[in-house]
Amino acid sequence: MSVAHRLARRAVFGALLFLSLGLKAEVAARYDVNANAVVVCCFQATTVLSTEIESGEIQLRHASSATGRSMLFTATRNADVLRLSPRFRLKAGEEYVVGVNMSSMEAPVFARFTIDKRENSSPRVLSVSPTAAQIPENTLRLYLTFSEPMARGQARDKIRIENSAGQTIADPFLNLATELWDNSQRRLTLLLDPGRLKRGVGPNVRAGTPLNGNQTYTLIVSGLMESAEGVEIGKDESKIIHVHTAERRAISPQRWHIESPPSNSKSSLTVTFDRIMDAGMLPRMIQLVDAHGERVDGHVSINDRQWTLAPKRPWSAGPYQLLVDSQIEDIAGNSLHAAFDSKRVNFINSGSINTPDGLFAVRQIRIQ
Amino acid sequence: MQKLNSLISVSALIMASMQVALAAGSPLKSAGALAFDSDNVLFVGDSKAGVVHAFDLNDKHLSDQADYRLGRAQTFEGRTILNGLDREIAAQLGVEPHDVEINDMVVHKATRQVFLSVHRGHGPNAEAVIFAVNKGKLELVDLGTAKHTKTSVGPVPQNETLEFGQPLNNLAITDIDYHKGEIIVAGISNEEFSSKLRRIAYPFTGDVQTTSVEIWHAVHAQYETRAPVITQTIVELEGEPTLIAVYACTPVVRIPLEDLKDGAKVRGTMIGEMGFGNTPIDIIQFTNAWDKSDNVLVTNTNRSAAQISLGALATADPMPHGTGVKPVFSVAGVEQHAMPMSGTLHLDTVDDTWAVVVRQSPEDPRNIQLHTLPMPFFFDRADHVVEMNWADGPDPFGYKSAPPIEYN
Repeated sequence: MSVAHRLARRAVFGALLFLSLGLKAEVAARYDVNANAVVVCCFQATTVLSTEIESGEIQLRHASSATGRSMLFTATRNADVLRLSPRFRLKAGEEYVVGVNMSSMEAPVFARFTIDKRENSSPRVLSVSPTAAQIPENTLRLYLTFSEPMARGQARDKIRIENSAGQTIADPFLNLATELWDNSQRRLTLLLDPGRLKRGVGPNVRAGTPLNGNQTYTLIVSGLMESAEGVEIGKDESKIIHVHTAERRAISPQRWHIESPPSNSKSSLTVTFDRIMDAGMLPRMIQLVDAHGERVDGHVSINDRQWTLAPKRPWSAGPYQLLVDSQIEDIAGNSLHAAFDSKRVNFINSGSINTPDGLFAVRQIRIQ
Repeated sequence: MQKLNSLISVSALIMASMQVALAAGSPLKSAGALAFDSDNVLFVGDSKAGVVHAFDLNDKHLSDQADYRLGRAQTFEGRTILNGLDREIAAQLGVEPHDVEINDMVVHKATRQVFLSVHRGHGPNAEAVIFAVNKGKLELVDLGTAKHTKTSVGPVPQNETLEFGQPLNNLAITDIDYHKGEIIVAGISNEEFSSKLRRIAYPFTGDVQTTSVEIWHAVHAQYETRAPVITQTIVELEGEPTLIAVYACTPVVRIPLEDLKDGAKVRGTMIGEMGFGNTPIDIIQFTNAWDKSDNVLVTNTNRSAAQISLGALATADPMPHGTGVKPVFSVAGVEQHAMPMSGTLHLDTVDDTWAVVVRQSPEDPRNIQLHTLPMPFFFDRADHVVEMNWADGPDPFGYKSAPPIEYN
């Protein structure tokens, strides 16, 4: 085969590969998922495979790819079988095409193959936090938890809030380029636009708070929202949100109600908040230490309004301290330092302690 | 004979088309914000791992692009380096273009080479890769062969959280900037509303200085104690290294770098306002080669890009604040000049003459382009309906007599 002939053949190879839909598959290819290898076999008996395989003689592509580029892979030949190891795993449910065009062959051959896809279950919305029946008008943050890992890039189009008349609220969430998922991509943080929550500020004056007191809204997650595996939820999921008055006070642990268990018991200690707290951060914001400063070991359960500790060992009589991390926020972004939209900043003072782990407010507790 | 050979169990390792062998096990769990130091170190923000990686690239990764023509600045003609950037990437990754996320772009100044951080897929197991552009071709960067270090910037998982299962808090790293031996990292937490900036010396020592920044927000007419920084750059203002930060909706804030000390709470000086209903994308520093002035350029989601001179940044008065100040609704404060850029997704400069953007094509927003723009106006004549492009239009600068550009 002349060099010119070979070059010409190479040039049409890419184009042929793209158009291979109508061509007869002359070889067979399958994907070994466990080994991440494409096995190409069953060449016709007359086909001659080269001993030395040159660059560009084999192409592996996503079937829909309109470019002339192959995926990245390495290849080995073992007798009449070619084994391609792609740099990236082939994607379940997608169709790929492999083409072989060796100088030793009379004509290029192709095979199309589809990667098996197991039927993944449809994702569901497991919970919306806060779970409380009523939330304040200036709620800053909502958390949605899904049953499956979800795909990024859908939050803006697939999640909306409607008022009781069925009208969609315009731009209720902060317009961020990045979506705020946890690492498993099961929990999504929705930040209501802080500019619309702060009283008297531009967006607030122009458009008002996204949610208004004494109104009922519906948070709707579109049935078109997809899991990371590309499976849609199927039908819209909604949660009714009753909105009441704004919460505009800084957090004060002194206002929390604490039910102290009796000493020598293993009854739970329960802290009841005076408002809905941010349930996302709550697990890592509160701890109980004993008179020696040792953390009390036990099982902690939380909800929007309560923190409960079931101790492993019976309570001793005497003082304990509830340590509240200074970064704690309630549902409206109010902190220990200040209310979210106040210009007065009250750094926590009396009763706070500064440790290598940060600044904590302290609530004294005595077990009798 | 060949057939006979093939029947014998021979196994020959071959490579497909252009690729090189790739070391297994990339340290990237995700790849977002990118920055280079003054040499060959590529910083990669990895929000998922809660770290910033530093890869000391070498000749295996870097390829000089000095001979690659970027356009003709004299006639305001940029070059489309790649059309269908997402499709080109998708082809190499073996997925459809909608499964490709281009997260950031940075130019290695010494070689003029463009680097991109990319995710393959949108799920939690999306693979994170870095591509380099070599003479108009995309090449996967083999980070396994670069000297690698990293520093933690995100939440540190604590044992305490384990009783609730995996910790869910996470810091989305929005920007990284290098300045004289250190990086400044900004990010948005998914559980806290905060404005912490992290200042980290490179080479990494494990030390991270965290500063909470409080700013006066004119639009809000309040003390905005907490709001996440979206993009930032470090400039020298009258000899003083200064952080210029742009926030979500969209104050421009000036903070002397020396104020960013560990544990400090500083109050940045708000000197400008880029307007309501808008989010910044990138801020970059550049020198205007025509008048030698130093400037920054801020690209925006909902407004044209804005140029601000360093002189104006240095001397701008703080915006009025305190009781009785009326909220500002439009562009205000430090003097800004609108620049005619639209559809810009990522921006960096190559030198004082050329910027490079990842953008939606002005003619077809579905076409994601890697394109160059002549500076200092970031203006490509072909993108705009201007009289001088018309066949019978005026030609005061002799554009039409210029010969067609021959691209290599």
